[in-house]
Amino acid sequence: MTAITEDVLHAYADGLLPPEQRAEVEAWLAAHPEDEARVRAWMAQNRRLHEAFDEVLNEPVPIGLLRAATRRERPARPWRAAAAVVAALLTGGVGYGIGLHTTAPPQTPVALAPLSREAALAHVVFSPETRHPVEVEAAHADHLVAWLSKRLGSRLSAPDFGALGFELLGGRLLSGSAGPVAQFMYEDAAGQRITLYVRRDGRDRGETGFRHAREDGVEVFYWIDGDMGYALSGQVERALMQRLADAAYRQLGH
Amino acid sequence: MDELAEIPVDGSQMSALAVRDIGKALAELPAEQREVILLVGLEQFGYVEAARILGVPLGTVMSRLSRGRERLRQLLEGEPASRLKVIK
Repeated sequence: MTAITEDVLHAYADGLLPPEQRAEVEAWLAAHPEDEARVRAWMAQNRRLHEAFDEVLNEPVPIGLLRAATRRERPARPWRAAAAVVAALLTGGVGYGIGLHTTAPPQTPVALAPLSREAALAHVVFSPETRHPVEVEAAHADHLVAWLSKRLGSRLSAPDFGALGFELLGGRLLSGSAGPVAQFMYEDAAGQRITLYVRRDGRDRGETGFRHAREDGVEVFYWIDGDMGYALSGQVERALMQRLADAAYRQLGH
Repeated sequence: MDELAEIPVDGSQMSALAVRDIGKALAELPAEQREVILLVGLEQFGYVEAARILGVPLGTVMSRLSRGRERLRQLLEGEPASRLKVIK
């Protein structure tokens, strides 16, 4: 008989227990409604995290596969930075950053902030992925672009950053606050990743110049063109990001 | 009555709402609790892997997870939905 500690309850909520231990925990929970309520709440939190940030991953990845996939060294620092960025994004840090970087009237940055915020959030969530960085790989680039274009209801293209050392890794479909979103991911020879986030903004707002947001190492350049919003995010040096963003802007509809 | 568990999670309206809601709650947590919750709950790392990634002992991961989840639970269950209007 396993001692039902707090840690065991968390492991149950996270689906990390073997079947026989699960049964023991379930028996415990049936007799301890307070613990049951807590465990159910934790499981609901996990579901909501996936629903909010990761809904393209429909099936949980088997834990054994995960272990195998994550055995190689992952540097600790980028994740800390990413977590800090998530924190900053959630508390509106980027919105504030935009305010500092633009000369437009205050209401404009407020209206545009969600694009950079969503893009940066999607970047920090997906770019560290070793298992499923993309849904459709660059090898199927034609299919990828056709599929994402269809879902967004607008003709998209994936910019070519080859001249700047970044190759298309692939892309995925995300759900943003304004509906479907396409994310293209690129990687350079050193393994640095940048993501291009493309969403329909619903109403034609003409064109904006580049806007820039930076928070704890993640650079986001974003702009609106007609009814489409674009944001390029990466944890790479700003001058290079600027060149990449220029290249994207030139290639997309110009 | 666990209201959270009963909310249907399909549909883009709902997912946009969920982003704000859980995002707002996460923002209230100290960074070290938030990163553990994201690694374990979202990225699906085991506790040992999470400890290795963060460079902290396993016990630290567990205590941060425990405190973070309890705080989230209070925030998500205690927060009236109308407060969402503040950020819109």
